[in-house]
Amino acid sequence: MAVKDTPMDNQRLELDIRGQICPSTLLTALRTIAMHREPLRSGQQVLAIRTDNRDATATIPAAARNMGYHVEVEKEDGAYLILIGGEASLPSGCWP
Amino acid sequence: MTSQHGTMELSVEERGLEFESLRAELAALRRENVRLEQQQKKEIRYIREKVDQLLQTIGTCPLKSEELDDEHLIALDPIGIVSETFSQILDHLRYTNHQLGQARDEIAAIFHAAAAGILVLDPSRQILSYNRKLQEFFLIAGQDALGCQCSEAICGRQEKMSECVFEKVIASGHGEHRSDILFGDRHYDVVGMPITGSDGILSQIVLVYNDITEQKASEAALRTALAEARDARGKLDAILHSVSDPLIVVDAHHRVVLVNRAAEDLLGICLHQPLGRALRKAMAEPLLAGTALLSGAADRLEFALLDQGRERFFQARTSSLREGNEGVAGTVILLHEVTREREVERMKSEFVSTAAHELQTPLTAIIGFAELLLSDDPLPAEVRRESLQFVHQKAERLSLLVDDLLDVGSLEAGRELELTLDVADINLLLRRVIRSFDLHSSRHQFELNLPEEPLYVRIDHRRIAKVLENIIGNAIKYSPAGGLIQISGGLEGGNYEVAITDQGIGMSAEQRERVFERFYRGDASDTSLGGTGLGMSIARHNIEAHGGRIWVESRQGEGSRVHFQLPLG
Repeated sequence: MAVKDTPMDNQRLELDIRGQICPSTLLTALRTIAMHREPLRSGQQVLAIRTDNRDATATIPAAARNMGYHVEVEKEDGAYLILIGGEASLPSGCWP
Repeated sequence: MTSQHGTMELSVEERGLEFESLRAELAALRRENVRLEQQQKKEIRYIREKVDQLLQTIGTCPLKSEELDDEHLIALDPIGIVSETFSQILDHLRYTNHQLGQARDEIAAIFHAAAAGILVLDPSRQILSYNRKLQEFFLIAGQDALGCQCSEAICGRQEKMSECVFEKVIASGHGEHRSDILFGDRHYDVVGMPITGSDGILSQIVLVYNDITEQKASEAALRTALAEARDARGKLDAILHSVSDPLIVVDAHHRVVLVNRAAEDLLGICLHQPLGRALRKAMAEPLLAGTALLSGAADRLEFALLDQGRERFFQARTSSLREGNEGVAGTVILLHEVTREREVERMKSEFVSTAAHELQTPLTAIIGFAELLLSDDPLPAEVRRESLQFVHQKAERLSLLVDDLLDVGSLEAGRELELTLDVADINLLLRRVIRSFDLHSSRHQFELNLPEEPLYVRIDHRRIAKVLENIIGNAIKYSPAGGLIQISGGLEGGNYEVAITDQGIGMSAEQRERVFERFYRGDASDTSLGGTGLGMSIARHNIEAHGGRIWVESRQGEGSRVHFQLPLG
């Protein structure tokens, strides 16, 4: 488990939790979110979590969204990349 | 007991007692350790239970000991993490609630401020809410329709079930729209939208009513206005096309906005082609006229156009186009063709000099012979007689010329020719006229083809004789010496028809067409032929004054045939 600022992009926090399973992945992710609450909330930073645990792609985004963060999940190199940062936008609707 | 180093040595008994004491102390420590271990396990179990409980609340699976051992569990501080998470979730919920509250207020404001009537129903048609506009549209003041059935409170059984938007939404499960539904005397567009709960089941239906009565009235008025505009345009076009003179209308920027058919034909442009273009670009030829007129340098200007090799003269006149109180909106240009007037002016000018010449020639002869007769020299009787005959002949010629001038004077003044009608034998009249020519023109042969028996008609024999003299005179004038001149007469239907045929130079199409025009001379440049250009015009007026008609058949180089008919009645 390691949290580091990416040299290429100091706005992005990398958290590699491959090999861990739930719920410790969730606790690790939540602890990192708590540590960087303000910059993540404002969107100044984005937390990029790499995990190979499929359950984590459900639990971490759900918890982060409940906390009001914008979350995206991508698949990258056989693992999952969960990107957390910025305010979640309110749902919008349109004429069907 | 004391050791050799002075220390007191313990006895066996004492050592045994000390050992026992230590063992008891160790046992107590062991017990304490066990108790502490149990206490720690209990606390860790408590922590795990609480963490699992919190994780369950978050929505994830319990914490497994093999995944996170006790030592790391304590170090990770999961309760602290989860507490912080809950804190953030609560903050977010507060923020979301605030946003929802604002959204609710916004929706309430929109709901009541909307220009459309909004009605919210449950699936059993019970009214859950409605806005002020809906109250205004369908309910009486103070009426509370909450909880009522929409079919009774709103439709009052007016709406046909086939048009019921609520039914359509229930059936389709999605948004529906119906145009122009009539409630009383008002027309509405109605939109229906379903609202489904988190379970996917339809929970409410929102109906929105837009009153389109005024819109429909406006559309009808617009259609009427359009029809009236088309009608007005049609009338304007009809008026424009009925104006025989070319007419062009330009706007304040001198762009062509209207031309009529005559302008189109004259200028060789398509009716719609020049619209919107600058006058100077749309029409090259009347550029000078247009520019001078539009610039205000003149309100009337004359110019010439070359039309199929023929010069045509036009007089352009302008008048300002005004729209209400907005000042000059454009200019109307009317092109009036004055080619004929210019031609008549030219012919009149020629006539004056020709007439002077025609008068001068016999007068000179008369004066000459009169001087001869008045001289003191005795003249032989034959010479005196011939001189007097010349004087008489030339005086008659002058008399005829003066008659023509008097007739032209009457016609120019718009008066009809005055006829002195008598019953006369037309055949005899023809013979007398022809005999007089036969006597005087030995160069030509005359062939007469007339009925033997007399035919009495009511005519002004002096005028008809003059017509005959004019036509035969022309036949002689324009025929080569020795040429045959045929005169025939006879009944044709209810008329007496005369035809005079010569083998002269004939006429071109234009000459044939214009031969009866006043002052027109076929070849004005040849003064040796004489003539005022009045004879044929007066002939036509004389024949028409008798109720007859006169016409010419002729081809250039092939001679001419002049016909006239006089009614027998």
